[in-house]
Amino acid sequence: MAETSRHPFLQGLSKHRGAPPTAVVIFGASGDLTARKLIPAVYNLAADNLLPPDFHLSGYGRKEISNDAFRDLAAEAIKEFSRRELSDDVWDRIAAKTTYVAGGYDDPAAFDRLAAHLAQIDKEVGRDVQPLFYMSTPPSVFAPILRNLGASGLAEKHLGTSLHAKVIIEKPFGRDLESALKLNGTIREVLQEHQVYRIDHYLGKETVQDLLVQRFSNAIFEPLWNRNYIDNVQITVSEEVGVGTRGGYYEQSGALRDMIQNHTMQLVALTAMEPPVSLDAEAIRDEKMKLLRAIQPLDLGPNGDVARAQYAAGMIAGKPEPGYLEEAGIAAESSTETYAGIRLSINNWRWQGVPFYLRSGKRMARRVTEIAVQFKRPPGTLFAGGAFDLAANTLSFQIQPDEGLSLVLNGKVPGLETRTQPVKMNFSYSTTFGSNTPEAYERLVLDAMIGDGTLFIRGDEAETSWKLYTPLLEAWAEAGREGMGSYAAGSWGPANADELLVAREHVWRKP
Amino acid sequence: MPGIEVPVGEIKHQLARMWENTAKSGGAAPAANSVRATQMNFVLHFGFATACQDAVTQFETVKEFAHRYPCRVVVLCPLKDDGGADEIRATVYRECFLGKSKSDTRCVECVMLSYSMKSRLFLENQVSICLSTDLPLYYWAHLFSDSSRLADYQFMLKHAKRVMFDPGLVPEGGDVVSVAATGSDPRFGERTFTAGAAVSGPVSVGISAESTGERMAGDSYVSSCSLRSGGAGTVGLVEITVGRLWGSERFGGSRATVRSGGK
Repeated sequence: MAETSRHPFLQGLSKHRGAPPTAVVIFGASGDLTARKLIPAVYNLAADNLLPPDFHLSGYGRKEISNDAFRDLAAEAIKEFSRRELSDDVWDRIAAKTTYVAGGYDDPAAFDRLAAHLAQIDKEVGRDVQPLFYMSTPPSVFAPILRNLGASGLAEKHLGTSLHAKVIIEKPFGRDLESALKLNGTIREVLQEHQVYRIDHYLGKETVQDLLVQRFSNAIFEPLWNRNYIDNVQITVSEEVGVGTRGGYYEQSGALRDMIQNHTMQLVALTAMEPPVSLDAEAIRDEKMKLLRAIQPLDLGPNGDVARAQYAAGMIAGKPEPGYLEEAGIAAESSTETYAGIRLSINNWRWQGVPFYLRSGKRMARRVTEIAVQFKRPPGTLFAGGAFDLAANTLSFQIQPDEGLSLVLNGKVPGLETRTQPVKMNFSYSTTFGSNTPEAYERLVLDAMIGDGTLFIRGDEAETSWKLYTPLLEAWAEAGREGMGSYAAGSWGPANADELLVAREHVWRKP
Repeated sequence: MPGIEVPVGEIKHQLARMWENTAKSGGAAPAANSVRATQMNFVLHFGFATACQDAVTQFETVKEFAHRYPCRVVVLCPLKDDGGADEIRATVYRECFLGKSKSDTRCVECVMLSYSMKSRLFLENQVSICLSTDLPLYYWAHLFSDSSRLADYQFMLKHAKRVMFDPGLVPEGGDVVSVAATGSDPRFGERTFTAGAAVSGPVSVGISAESTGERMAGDSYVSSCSLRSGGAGTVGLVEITVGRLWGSERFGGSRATVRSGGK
């Protein structure tokens, strides 16, 4: 049915590789992520006919609500957050197989009920159905959920077959190296690595995947992708929003934990890794790991590789905004950074001597995620002097918003004399392919159903990243507010982050 | 000034909506979501001395310029009687210039930001997100008679490929500009400043220029320039006329002389 309903031109082009019968169980079913991302993702996969005919959705949470009440919540979430309008045809198909199981995360009896519920689904379908558990909960309940999945036998359900139980885990994967090792230890007690899908939604974004395509499917870039031609790389993950009502959470997190250690490091790995031998998940993850291992320990001293700051009062969208310390739920003497700037050195044949500058912050000038690769200037003085306005060639991947890429070249200004000027070539996803592209969670949930772990983080990747940043976190914790910079809300960051670039006469971009 | 007032956070969406509406009504408009052809960023910054009619005249000048050289235009207007407000307001305007062929159509978007005295320290942040990244910035400061106010705009002064101070109506003997605390930035010499005669000398802290009221025929400009402080990083100021800067064509309205920094 699903195959025949697709346009024939799409056959063979889509990712419709036939997800097996699947029962998705969402832990934290009444949570914000479930409403904003997960339910709409399931809905849009259904609208695209990418869900298997025997697809079941079960919410699991502490709240005692009925199946109908959960369906109503899901329908409301689709109306509010889905990229498509709610269509009764599509929703009715999902709703008929949507259920809710109430129970605590540390309640073995509740997990036994969940196991019985999934067994009943197997029975109704008349064949084995793949269980896919989505842990959309605070990290504090990861461990009890995992233990109960193990104790109830759900973790081993259909193990040894392609329909084995799979678990998607949301970040954070620990808050330092020690806790990451502990979490991975708990995971490995009940699950094998191939059952685990650590999700970083950035990897599901089209432009991030396009980064691999651009690098490895175009012959013109890869020969230049090294220290001989690239001057520096800047990765910016900036947010316009402040901490909002999440002050309590953010106080325990900060920019380094919230953004740099996970999202940004994945972007570094994909930008800088060697070509994998294949598109196989393990081949790509192995190359990412090699790259992460080649990153040198950070210099934490004065004039070192790191900068941190908090936003002060400023102005965004023409209106005054308070500083971080004036936000609700923030301690007056808080030492949590809302901005982190990092200079990475990668000690391998390809990248030695090329600085990778990373920055992430809240209440910055605009929301943007960008990877900018700046090439070296051409040798010689053929076009030198005042008449020749030359810019460094820069290839920038805009991950969000306005997904696309641009390349800055130098061109001749039309006229009778030879004058030059930087010009931009732009590729916009929405212009070329339309604006209704899948959300990251759609791609990732489908991948997990299919068993493709390429766009998920392996346990050793998370550990290696924490190994790099844990000494920094400890140093900052020890220093308290000493060395904390400040930047106006709505600006591009603090002056102390500019210092990271001064030695090489680089400047932060204003994307 | 033409255009419609919008919330500052809605500039981008409102411009897109305006193009959509223009296209729906059969007018010339670029394709939805497409990037407008731009060669550069152009910031026209009015000083307090700018009268309303003069502002309109200068804006027409910028439009004429954008017609020839498609650019992202940002116009900055200080609010004279802001009542102590702490805000920035935006007005957006768009227009397509039709040429002889379809390929000769130039579409330009203008963002006008009106700012109170209190909010001027945050103005450059807002400007930065209105500009097209990676393209050269041209900064035209019109009728700034108080140098301390211009010193608040270090980003535009430091990052502009060309800076033009238009002293056409500066009071006789008035201080045209002083750019304080610019440091010995090696890129300093690539930028352009007004002055009436070639001046060479060391610059490390800043530049000031004074009007003596003398003007050459054709172009109006400050006839002397003094360097406020000596030190490392010698910068010689070399005169570039408007004609040289924009391809031997004067664009009307403004009488300005531009000088280029160069080592």
